[in-house]
Amino acid sequence: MLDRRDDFAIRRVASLARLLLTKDEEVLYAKQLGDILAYARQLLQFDAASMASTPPDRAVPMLLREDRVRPSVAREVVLGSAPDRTDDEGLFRVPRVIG
Amino acid sequence: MPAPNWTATAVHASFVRGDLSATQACETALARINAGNQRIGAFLSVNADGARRRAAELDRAADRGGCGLLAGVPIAVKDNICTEGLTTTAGSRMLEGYRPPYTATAVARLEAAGAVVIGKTNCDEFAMGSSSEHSAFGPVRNPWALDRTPGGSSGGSAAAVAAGMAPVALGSDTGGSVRQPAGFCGLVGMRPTYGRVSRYGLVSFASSLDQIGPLATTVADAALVLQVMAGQDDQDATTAREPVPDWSAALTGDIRGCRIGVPTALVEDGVDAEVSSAFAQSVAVLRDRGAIITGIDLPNSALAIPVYYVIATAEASSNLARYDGVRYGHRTARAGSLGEMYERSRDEGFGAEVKRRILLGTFVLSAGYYDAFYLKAHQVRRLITAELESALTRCDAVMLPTSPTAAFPLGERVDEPLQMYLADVFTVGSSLAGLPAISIAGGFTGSGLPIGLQLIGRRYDEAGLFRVADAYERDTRWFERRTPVCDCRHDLAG
Repeated sequence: MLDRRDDFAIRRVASLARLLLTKDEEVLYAKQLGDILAYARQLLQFDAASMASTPPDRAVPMLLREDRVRPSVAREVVLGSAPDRTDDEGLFRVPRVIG
Repeated sequence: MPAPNWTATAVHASFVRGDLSATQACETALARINAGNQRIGAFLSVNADGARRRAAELDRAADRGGCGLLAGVPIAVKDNICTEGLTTTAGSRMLEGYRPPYTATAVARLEAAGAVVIGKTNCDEFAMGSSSEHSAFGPVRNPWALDRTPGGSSGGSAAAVAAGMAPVALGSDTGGSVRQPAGFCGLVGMRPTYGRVSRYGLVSFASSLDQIGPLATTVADAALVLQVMAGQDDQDATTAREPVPDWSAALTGDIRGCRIGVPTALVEDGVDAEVSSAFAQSVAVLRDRGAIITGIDLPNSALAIPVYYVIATAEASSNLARYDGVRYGHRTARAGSLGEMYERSRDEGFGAEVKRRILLGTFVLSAGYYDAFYLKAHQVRRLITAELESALTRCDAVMLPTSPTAAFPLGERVDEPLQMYLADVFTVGSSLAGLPAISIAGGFTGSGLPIGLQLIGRRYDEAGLFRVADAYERDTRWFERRTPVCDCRHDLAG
């Protein structure tokens, strides 16, 4: 369980989040997030068993409509926002992944 | 004192009567933006050509009364709400220059009702913040005091309305981002019930919490804008099939017998003395109008902040995973591999607060911490919801300050994220519960800063909130105060 500020494993979390951090950022965010999590620890005093009687989430039920085919945004328009694309095949282009 | 004429209600009525053209209203807004935006930083982009074209179309209409409920009214739109062909940056370098290929349902409905989108307003990056200082394009300043924040994250929308640059604006409210800026700028800001307004086209932050809401000078204007936007939308499966009532009919001024609950312990703890005093006076105003004020207890509401910052950041870390530099948004110029491209693009595109929240959200969802933080936060969210709903079986509305203080100085909390988060103590509870809440102008400090007053209502009972807020507004008329920097809020000729 998280007890100390330095337990916020900043490098591991940054890697999971696909964020590249400088050394200074690592130090700063580890401290700030450690403080925030220390504050959030007050949630841990609640044990789940005592909350079994609370009503279920009252979020709006997800209402799904019937599937139906209809026009979508045109491929050219979508590709127009792409940072890089192939000119002829209508594809997004990214750095080579294989070989 | 006559009614202000730079409101959506008044501009529309003048347009229909033929006293005012849509072009005149549009030019008034553009001139004020031109005169004041450099100082205030409310707008990130101005839709001058598009607004003029649309206004001219409306002016050519044979039947002005048939052009819609908002015909001729200039409206400002927060820059995290998509507008086809107009840049939508969400205040982020990640989306700098991005022009969405579609328009948000809320905006499309406003435009179909004759509203004229005048420009896109500045905000905290991806709506993450409570001061509008976390915008990649510079902070917004409060028209009531330029050295202070207008609140956030919809600070640009609030500042635009407070400075008279637009009669009404759209914001988005995840944990208070419409209500808190409304409170800091002396405006009306409404967070509707979760599901009332479509989120289609709203740049996602925390999807179980995000809602679009209006910022306005008067309760009648907020009701009018919400009226046009609300209702089920096939593009957002979380919108409710609940009928949308005529909210203007709720503005009767009659609140006799209306029961208003005040969580006494909560509002006595850590609230600035001037906010406390204004709150007590507001309670007296409602009591004098015939409302029945009762003390209530919300013992778990103090937990709303940690619950909110666990759930909202968890959802944000997932939602913002889409910014990978592949399909749209920023891509680094320095990537050798795909993985490096993701990381460098995100590093260069995101600002500090967004990175902090992504990291926190990733952490609370990670193996070993999911049960301790994320699951627990959901359980406590249920408790908070049950507690508020229980209180609302005994009273018609819960009344709170919008924030513990009036607008704080720019820079005061920007390096202290936890202190910034704690300022949301009165707004996050209703967000977690999905309940509607409205902030209205509830007085001023001795130095002339607005103080917000907030009412939380039952699910889908926006009408009840509008009724109480309007009754309060009739007796207090705080909207007649003018900002010292833009003495033009109420006069078309200004």
